[in-house]
Amino acid sequence: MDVNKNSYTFSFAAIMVVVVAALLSIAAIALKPFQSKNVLLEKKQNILSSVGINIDREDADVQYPLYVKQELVLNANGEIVDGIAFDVDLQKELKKDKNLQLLPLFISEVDEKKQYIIPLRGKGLWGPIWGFIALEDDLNKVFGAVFDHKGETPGLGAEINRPFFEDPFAGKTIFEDGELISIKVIKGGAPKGDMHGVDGISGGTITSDGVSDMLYERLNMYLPYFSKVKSEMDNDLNISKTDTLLTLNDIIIK
Amino acid sequence: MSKNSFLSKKNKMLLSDPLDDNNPITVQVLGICSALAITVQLKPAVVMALSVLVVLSVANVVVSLMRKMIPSRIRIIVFLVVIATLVILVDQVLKAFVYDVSKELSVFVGLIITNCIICGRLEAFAMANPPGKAFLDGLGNSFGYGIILIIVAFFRELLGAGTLFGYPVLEKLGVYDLGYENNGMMILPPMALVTVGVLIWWQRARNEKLIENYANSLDIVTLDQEVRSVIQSNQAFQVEGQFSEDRYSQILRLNSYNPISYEIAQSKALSQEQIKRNLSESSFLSKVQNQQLNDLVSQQREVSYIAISTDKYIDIVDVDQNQISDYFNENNFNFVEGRKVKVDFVEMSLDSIDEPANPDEDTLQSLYEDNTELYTNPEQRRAQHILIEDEGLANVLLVQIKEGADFAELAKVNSEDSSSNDNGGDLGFFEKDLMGAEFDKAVFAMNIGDISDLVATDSGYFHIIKLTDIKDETTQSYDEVKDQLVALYKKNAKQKTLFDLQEEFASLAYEESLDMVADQLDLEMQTSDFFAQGSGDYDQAFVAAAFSEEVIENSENSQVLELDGGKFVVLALSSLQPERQKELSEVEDQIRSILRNIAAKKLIDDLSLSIASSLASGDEVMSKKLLADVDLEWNSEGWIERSSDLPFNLASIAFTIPKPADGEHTYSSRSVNNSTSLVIDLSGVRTPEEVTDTGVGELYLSQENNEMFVALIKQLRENAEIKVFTDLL
Repeated sequence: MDVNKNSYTFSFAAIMVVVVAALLSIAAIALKPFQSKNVLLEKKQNILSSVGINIDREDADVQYPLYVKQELVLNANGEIVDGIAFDVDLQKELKKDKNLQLLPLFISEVDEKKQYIIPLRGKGLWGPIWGFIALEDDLNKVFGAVFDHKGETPGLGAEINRPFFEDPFAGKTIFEDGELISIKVIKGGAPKGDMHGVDGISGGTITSDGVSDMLYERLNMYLPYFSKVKSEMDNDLNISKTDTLLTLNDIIIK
Repeated sequence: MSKNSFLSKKNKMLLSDPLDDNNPITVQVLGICSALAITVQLKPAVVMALSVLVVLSVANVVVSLMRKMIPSRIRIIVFLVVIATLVILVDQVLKAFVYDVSKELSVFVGLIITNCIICGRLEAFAMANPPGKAFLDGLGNSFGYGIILIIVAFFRELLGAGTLFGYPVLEKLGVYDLGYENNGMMILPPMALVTVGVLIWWQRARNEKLIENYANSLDIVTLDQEVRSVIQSNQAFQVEGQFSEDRYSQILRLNSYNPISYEIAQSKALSQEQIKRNLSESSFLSKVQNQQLNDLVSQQREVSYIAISTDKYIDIVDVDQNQISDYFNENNFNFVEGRKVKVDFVEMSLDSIDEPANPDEDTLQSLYEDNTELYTNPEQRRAQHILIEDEGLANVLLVQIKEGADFAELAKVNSEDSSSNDNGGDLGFFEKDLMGAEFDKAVFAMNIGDISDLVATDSGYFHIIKLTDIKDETTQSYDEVKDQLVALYKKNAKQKTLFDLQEEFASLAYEESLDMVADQLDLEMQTSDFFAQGSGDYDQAFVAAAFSEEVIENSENSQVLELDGGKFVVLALSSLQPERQKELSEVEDQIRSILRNIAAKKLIDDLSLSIASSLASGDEVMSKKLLADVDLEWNSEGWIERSSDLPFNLASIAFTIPKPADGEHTYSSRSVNNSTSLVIDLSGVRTPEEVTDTGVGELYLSQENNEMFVALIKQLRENAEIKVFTDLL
């Protein structure tokens, strides 16, 4: 058979493409359940990790409900809407108009304190980066943060998922005089005592900047909700004061 | 592929070569991009190495399996599709089952597609080798690639981050306490390049083979390709017109070459040829020179000669006894009788085999059936033909014949077949396959009396054929040939017995003395006369065996010799007669005749010289007297050429004699052999008017080239420094 004939060449190419396509489709379909399970577990693991609970991925299913007490889906106005927060795909939401985006929020309780966990997603150097930032119940102080990436440069940008980068976020604050400053990743290192800055990674500047931008943009989306919660908290506080006064009065009366 | 050859030395080299001598990164400088990108830490480097291992080995095997199906024009695309498919599969599998590793590798799994090593191996190796070898090549190159990746990553992670596989080695060792700081540079891509550079330097400085290769690199690239193409175009290595690697190695094995030594030999031959080729373009011949050479070659000379023989004088000359004994004393080494041997031998032949019993009818019948063709005379046909070269004339004759002209008459006049035209073109009876395919095709399709159309044959002639008679195929009946069959049966049976016995004969002869052999096999032991080395009295192989080391020195039986006439012989030394100086009395007559010959020869030499000189000096009286005295005559050959076939090799002698002036003669005398002298008269030299190109120009050029080449080699040898490694001698 003459393997250099045009007809042969074309049919060879055609058959090859079909065979390869079939092979890859079968592989993709067959492996999909395993892959999805891995992604799901990792998300749970990451959420827990942002509030300082570090567990194996295999245990994520069991551990997750012990800590995460509430999953909320918010709209751009900070109102709670119907939906399952865990299934909200940020990749899709980010493509929508800001006013139409759904904002997932996870509320956890660790050591009897409430944390607000906000999912993050942004752009790194080579592809998407994502993570979770957990705020303490004052909605200002950072409780913890985790980051991850799809394909940042190993040893450089890829280091954002390492503790040395993530740990310094805890304890920083995102507001200054009521205005959102977010937290900046600072090239060359944050000055001491900077409440809004963490050290950047040498050689990973673009990824670091990506982290800063991501934090600011995502936190900014939650401001309406934050102000609502804060006003509610103020009310609660007033009520509790009233309660206390009442009690005191009661005592006095008695 | 058998297990044995799978682990052959060559196959092991497929594995080991890429680790060092032919490393894809440090020697071939391929796959640098990934070596830069993923060597910041050990872990991704290791995973990358493993992924490349899987992808390259499998891709090599896949492409090797398809190598005969892949259209060459889209082969690179096919490679990419194969690689990309494998990479995607690997990525998917990693994601499903080792999620952490897949995250670690991230984009770099995808980068494998662009890894030039893989494409390179597919193109260079898998396309030309069977799957087993391709797999080994894939493993070898992946190891070679991986090991460099891991070495580079080791240094970059250790020096750049102070960790190995993420474990803070330097911190644990307390190095930082001494004031050490991580070198951030190591993390940056340029340092990967520097590290690879250092590795390349270290490897080449250490490995002499690579230094040599480097020095020859340019030559080797071009030469290898040329050698390769020469080898591949060699039909001996081709199967159905395609170069076959299997056949190549098979033939080399049979000729106890290995591919490397064969390719070296080929490349040497090629480069010599190239030098010769270059030289040949540097010599040239002008038209005039060429003409002169051709003139010389075609020159003709007019020659006559007198031949004087010693015959008449041998009996006249006298030889005395002193001369004979002097000659004997001076030349006694010529009168030595060589050693002679007498051997005992045992001979086994068809004759020494007992006559087998007569076969039964059934055996004969089946023998007859098996050999029917022996007793069959194939169909024969008789035809007349006219052989004509000119197609036009042939057509004219054909028309005449069709119109009723007499075939035989026309054949006699027109046929160019001189052997048959006198008989009216009759060829007699002939079988198939004697006259050529076209002729047969025509004749064996005709009926008696038919006349063919023009039959063209390969020789460029045309035949007109008339079929005149047919003898049908005849087969002799069983009864007719029964006697022959019995004889055939007996001959076959004896032959078989002989061959069976011959083995026993050989093993007996190897172990037992000759009389035992004779006894055991019921053969007669015979004894030869004395004979000398090179004697013609016995078979050549027989004589050679008698003088072989094992027979003469070791006194053993010889090997079984198979002599003409289906005889098998084993011999052993009976007695040896050593070399012996002959006595004068034995050789006196021989010496006398030698001396007489010498004297007679001298006589005729003198005579021819004096005839020639008297003729040359114009002394006709003297010359005529001399001629008359000895009763000699001139033989005239007329005009001869260099190639003329004349007695006494006269043509070549005549062309060495100086050319006479016009109208003059050159006379000379020559001794041509031990018994003849010539007087030669060269009376004219001329160049024919039309000289055809004899090709002498090319001959001259090739000779000149050859001389130049030899001179060049000689000069190179002289200029070369030769060192003798005495310790190796």
